[in-house]
Amino acid sequence: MKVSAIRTEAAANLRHRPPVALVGLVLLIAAVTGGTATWAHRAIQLDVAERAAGRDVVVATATSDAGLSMTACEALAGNGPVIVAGGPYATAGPPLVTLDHSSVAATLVSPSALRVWLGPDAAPLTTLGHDLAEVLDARHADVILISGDVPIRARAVLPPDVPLSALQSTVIIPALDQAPLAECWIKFEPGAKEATEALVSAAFAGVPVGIGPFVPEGGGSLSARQFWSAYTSLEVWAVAGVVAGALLGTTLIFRRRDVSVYLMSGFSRRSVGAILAHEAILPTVIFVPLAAMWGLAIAVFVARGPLELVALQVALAYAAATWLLFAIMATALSALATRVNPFAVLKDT
Amino acid sequence: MSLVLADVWFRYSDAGPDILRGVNLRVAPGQSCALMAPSGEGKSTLLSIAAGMLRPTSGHVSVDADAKGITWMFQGPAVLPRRTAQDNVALPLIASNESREDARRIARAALDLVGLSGYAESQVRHLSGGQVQRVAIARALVARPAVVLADEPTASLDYDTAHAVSTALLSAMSGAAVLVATHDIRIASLMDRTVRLDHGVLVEDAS
Repeated sequence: MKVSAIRTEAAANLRHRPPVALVGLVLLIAAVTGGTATWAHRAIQLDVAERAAGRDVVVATATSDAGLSMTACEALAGNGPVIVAGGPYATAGPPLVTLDHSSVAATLVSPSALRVWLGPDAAPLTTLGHDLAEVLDARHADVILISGDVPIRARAVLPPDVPLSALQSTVIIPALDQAPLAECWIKFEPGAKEATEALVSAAFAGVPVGIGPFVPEGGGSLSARQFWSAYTSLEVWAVAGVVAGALLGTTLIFRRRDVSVYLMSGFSRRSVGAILAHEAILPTVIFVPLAAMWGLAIAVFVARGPLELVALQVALAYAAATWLLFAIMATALSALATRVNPFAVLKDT
Repeated sequence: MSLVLADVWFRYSDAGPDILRGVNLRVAPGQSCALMAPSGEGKSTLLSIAAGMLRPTSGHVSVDADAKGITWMFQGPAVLPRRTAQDNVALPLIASNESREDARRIARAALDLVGLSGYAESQVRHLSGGQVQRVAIARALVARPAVVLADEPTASLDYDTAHAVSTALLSAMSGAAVLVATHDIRIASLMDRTVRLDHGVLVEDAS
């Protein structure tokens, strides 16, 4: 039997048949897409927050008055998994006086210290701590003049998500000074904490130093990775695909009579199976993309903002996997549904 | 093309009783035969064996037609209820790769023949029992079967309707070998001959 004839026959049946399995599949696809996009978005947000909070930073703290070598600290950059390193000097900076005659503290840091928190492209500029900028109402840092022994111009404001409270209410002044550091902050590639700590230990060998993660582990809540792993381990796409397939299988039980009529009318079992499979799959070509869009719209609404590209890609991949599993099950179950004795079915009804 | 059963014996299990005992039957092309028996005496079993759906325990069945040359009619509505009468009648033609336009044209002509010319576009579920059976007859008609096996096709209809449906069936299938299982002697009287199953033995009705 020609494919076009099978498609036409399936379409004719669809016009008069309540689309129970289709509605179920649409709801499941929307739920899978929306749920995956939402959870992926949350995982990404959590990951960003964890990174901003210093998850990928190791701290070496001097345990003696001798402090740490600034040169040794900054020289860690580029070694193995270390991206950038720097830290505050052990000696406090001079008190500074703002234009309205308030006195504020200055924190002297090594040239690369701000890059640990602001990214590798951050310039070593004099920067206002976020809290200080709030107090001074300094939204545009480059116009704030601060006078001390030497007048200086603060050109940037520390973002509020920099987790170092010691930097928030000060003027941060990067300085190329060979003086010892109180701490060395080491930003490393994600997942390379142990290697970084080993590297730092070697760099400060013979120096009294404490080395540990900037963010203590085991804070009592799931990490972003654990959070996302817990979601993906549910295999929602497989569950949804199987549920949709099972729903279709249930509806096919009620098609035994139709199947028998086709068989008695001269259709081969293969043709009847193809008709049933077409009936199940044809409308999904239109409605599954719509369901996925619906799910994404819900996710955008829940997130109250745009979703990350990765979240969209994962959600759509899950929707596609759900649909594919449904299509495979639909084909198999349709073939199975033709294994009836048409005489027995039609005789008994 | 004839339907021939020669010395057919049948039992459902080795330890079970013989349902059919040495049945001999020949229905010639253009001939109609009523098969009568009380309920449970094996009418449906005999039809199933005639159609090749059950294998006889012993004996020989010969149908001078391929599987598609046999058409069934049942007591219940063996139709697609949500499709139109025309679509139902066209099914055998669609199955044999007839174009949809030609299939519909032939189906409408067949519906005209069984007196349903005004119902081609009606969904079958909205038709009466007698009309549904006529749809089934029209569908059998377009299939041009060599053999028609009917299992109490009018049992659920009132007599007038049953008579009209049976007449339509016999008229439409005038060239085929027609074997109709029925318990209604008035319907049986419309056939060319009548045979009875009596405890598994087939007896030609002398009347």
